[in-house]
Amino acid sequence: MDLLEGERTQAPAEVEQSGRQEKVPLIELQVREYIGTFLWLGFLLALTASVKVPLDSSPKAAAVSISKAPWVFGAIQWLLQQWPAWLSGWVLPLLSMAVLFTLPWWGQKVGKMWVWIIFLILSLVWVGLTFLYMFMG
Amino acid sequence: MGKQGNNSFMGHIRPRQIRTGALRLRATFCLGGFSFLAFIVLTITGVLLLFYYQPGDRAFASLSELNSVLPYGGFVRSLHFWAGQMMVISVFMHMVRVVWSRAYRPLRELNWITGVVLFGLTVILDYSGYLLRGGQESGAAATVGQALFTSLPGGQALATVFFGQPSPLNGSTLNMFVWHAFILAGAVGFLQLFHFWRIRRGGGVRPL
Repeated sequence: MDLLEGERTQAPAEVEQSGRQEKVPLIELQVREYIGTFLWLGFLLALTASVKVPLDSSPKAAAVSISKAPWVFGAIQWLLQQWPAWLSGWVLPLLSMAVLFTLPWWGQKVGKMWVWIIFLILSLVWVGLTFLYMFMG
Repeated sequence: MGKQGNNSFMGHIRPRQIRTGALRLRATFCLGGFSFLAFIVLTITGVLLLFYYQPGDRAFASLSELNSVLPYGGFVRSLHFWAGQMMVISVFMHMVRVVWSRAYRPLRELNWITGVVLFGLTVILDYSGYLLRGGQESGAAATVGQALFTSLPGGQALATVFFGQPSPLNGSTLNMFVWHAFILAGAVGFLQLFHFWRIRRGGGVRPL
């Protein structure tokens, strides 16, 4: 074993050959992550400074008729306005989650392209309903 | 860590050397890392909000004071809000990227399942945070959620455990606060660390 180690071609100190891909020190990745972190934090701070988050209507004010869901539940709220609660609030969301959970299994059964199509349709329906609720109520 | 370094938790999360392919930005677009970053911002701002926020009947009043009287209170609250929205979006985009690159395939099924659970919990965290605003909108959203639970057999008990006794004019309760600030947030934090460890253990060292 030592003999084999000794015969191995010396790689540069910071770069080691491994299979088809070179290996580099972790710092190379960390630099990219730090740059991404600063850009993302900059965007978040700019968003926070420029778009003020309003308070809700005070519970002590005159009650107004509100049926408003947070945008993440906009799709379910839209469905609730069309169909019964058991279907819109439980069956369809849980069915969608079940499809997501079993995606690796579907990949083996129907192939990668169909998995992508199933996921895309599911995503577009939920995102589409969310936008429908946000902009059309 | 010593000689066991590469087998330890930190050894998996932060190995000394990585393959050059791992440096490609388009491998992940850093979406998982951005989600985690949002969670860190949410944790820090959430802890700051804990010093002043009072769940229950005083929720709206405490937020109103925090927003208008406390120095930088409104900024911290806005930062918490926007980090929450960006976390939901980045987790979803991360899932799209994972499906597109077929990173859900065997040996990585558990990563995928953990990711789906994290997505579900993130959405519920966002909803529970919305209820803690304590205004009429949050009361309406809590009423809808309660109605969904009570439509299930035995759902009344579940609704009480999760929502407490919110009024239609105020969704903030101690129960919801505990779920949001401790149980759900703690579960998301733990699952994220597990998720990262599994990804690194499977050899997936990429820009987070």
